[in-house]
Amino acid sequence: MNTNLKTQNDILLQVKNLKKYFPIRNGLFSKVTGNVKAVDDVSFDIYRGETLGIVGESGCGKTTVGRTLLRLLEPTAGSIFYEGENISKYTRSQLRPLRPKMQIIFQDPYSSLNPRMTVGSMLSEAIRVHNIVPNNEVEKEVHRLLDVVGLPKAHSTRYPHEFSGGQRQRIGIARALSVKPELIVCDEAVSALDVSIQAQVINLLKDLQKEYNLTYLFIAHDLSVVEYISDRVAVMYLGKIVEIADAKKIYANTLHPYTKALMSAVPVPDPDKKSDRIVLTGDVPSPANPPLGCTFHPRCPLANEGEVLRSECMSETPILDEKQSQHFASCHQI
Amino acid sequence: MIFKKRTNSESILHKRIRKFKGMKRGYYSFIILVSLYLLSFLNPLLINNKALVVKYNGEYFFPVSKYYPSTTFDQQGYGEAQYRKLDEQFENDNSGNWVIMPVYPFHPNESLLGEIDGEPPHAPTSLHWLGTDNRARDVFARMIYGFNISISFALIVTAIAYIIGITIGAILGFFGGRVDMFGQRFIEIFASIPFLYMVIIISSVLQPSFWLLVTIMSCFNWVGMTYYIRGEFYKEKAKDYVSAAISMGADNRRIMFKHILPNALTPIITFAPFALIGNISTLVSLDFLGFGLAAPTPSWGEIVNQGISDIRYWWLILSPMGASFTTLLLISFIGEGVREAFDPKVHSRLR
Repeated sequence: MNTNLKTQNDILLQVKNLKKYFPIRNGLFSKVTGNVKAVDDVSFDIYRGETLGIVGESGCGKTTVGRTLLRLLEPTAGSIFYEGENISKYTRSQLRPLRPKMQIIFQDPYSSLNPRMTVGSMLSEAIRVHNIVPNNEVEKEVHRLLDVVGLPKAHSTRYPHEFSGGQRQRIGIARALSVKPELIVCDEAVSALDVSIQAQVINLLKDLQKEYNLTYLFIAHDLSVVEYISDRVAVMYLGKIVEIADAKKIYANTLHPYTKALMSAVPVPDPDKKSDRIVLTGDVPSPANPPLGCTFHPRCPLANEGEVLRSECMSETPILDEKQSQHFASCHQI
Repeated sequence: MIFKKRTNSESILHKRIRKFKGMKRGYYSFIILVSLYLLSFLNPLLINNKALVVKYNGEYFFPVSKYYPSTTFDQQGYGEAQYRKLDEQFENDNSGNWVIMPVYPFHPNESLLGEIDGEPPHAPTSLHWLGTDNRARDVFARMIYGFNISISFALIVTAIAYIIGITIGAILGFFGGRVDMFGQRFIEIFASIPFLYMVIIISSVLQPSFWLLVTIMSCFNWVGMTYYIRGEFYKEKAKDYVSAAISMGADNRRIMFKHILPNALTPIITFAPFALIGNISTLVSLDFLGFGLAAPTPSWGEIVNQGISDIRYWWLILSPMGASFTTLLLISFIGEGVREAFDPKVHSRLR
């Protein structure tokens, strides 16, 4: 999709200042003594028909963002607009008619399928709950879904433990498709699979996107996978988005120092190429007690230049600014 | 064979049933116990003082299902006809009338005082296999009727207690948080009420009928199951298939009972045989103490109580002990088999 043509009308999902804190409870009366700020003030838009990739290292809040969007987790603050409707305060029953429009594919293909249900009953359940097709056509629809994800019809009577990881992930995809969704959150959907299967599943996801005009929120930690599938990419660090831009721009012209370090860690399949890897010092700070100012400043090469910490990095939280056209980054130094 | 297996897929439950069938001791115990229990529903046809069929003056009578006064057969005395005497009488008469008696022609609640010489309890004879108790009632008949009552009682109590326990445990585990916190505290308080004293207090006010006793026992028996179910629900609800069900728009009840419960069945099924044992033992002990089922009901505990009073009447102690021992042993074997069948460590070569 040409980014220049994106307008307000094309926004499928809009997230504004989303926060998700997990309280730390202590003592006899479970008093809240602190918060793990898994997602801290995140805002972004997802346009219809695009794939927004979210990358970041483990624990940066990618998965929490995905789950909070679907209200599988309750947001602490902020709003989520789905086609202009603020769904962040909807009750469960209000949310039910919207559920089919947003689906999720999980990371772990082993725990995401109910071991006691056959593939057929798993796929038909949602179809029946939402009356997607008339009752006498449910079986046909289940077979069609299996066909779409490249599994034989006969598998509908099987149980999850009879499948391999890649096949299970296909079943997970078929289940997400069964309710004819508009948005699918792929929560590390391919991370648990080996590389050849990853490629198959990613190509399947791409084909399905074309066929059904799906919108993806693609969460992953593998930068090359994200580059391949995404139209736009958001980079997260410690619960915040530090950079968001078109995939091509972000890979060609990285702005934020954290993204630069991340990019330099991607292995290049060329033994002669000299690695100019940026190695960050220290560990990721605890999200329960993030650093003041820019959360990245203790590890940031720009903030530490000349052995002196820059005062604005230490005291002021940077905002996500449009540093170049359609290229946002949150950093004081660029 | 291998090819056939590949095309038929097997649910986890089917696999476990197949495994249980492979456990010879448990599986045969299960078959024996179930057939005995089903057979015991035919007790009125097998062990009874009422004739199955009477042919009298060209007419057929079926006393098992209908009451006939003794005058119907021109018999002496009042009340219901005495079919054992009638049988003897017709055999001597050679009048073409006959009586078919059940295999063991004595009723558990019938006093045989007039028929056997001497003071009750009478020692076992070839006619009365396990003798009689202190009211001259046939002990064997009482044992067999007591078997049916004990198992039925334990099954019903277990079922009701499980339904209550599973529902409450599921609610605590699924909703968690404050519901769980207050629910748990309530259960702890409730569980600290001494069960036996409650039964004694209630029995001293009300005559405990079968259903009253079932109600009381069920009310005090569900607590244990809540802990296991609560734990299982806590474990299962965090899994992604539950999130998938939520994101598909399934309501809470559907998620709890259609998605999570089938995955939380392991403690329910593995504990069931042992719960049965517990409930049978409790009934025997309550009957022994005299707080169990109302007086004429055939029960094992009551006979033990009679036997304890005079050790010379060994059949009054050994019969109920043997009956409950055999039953509990069979159920233990079943429980052991079920537990093995549910054990995921099948491939252990150390066994």
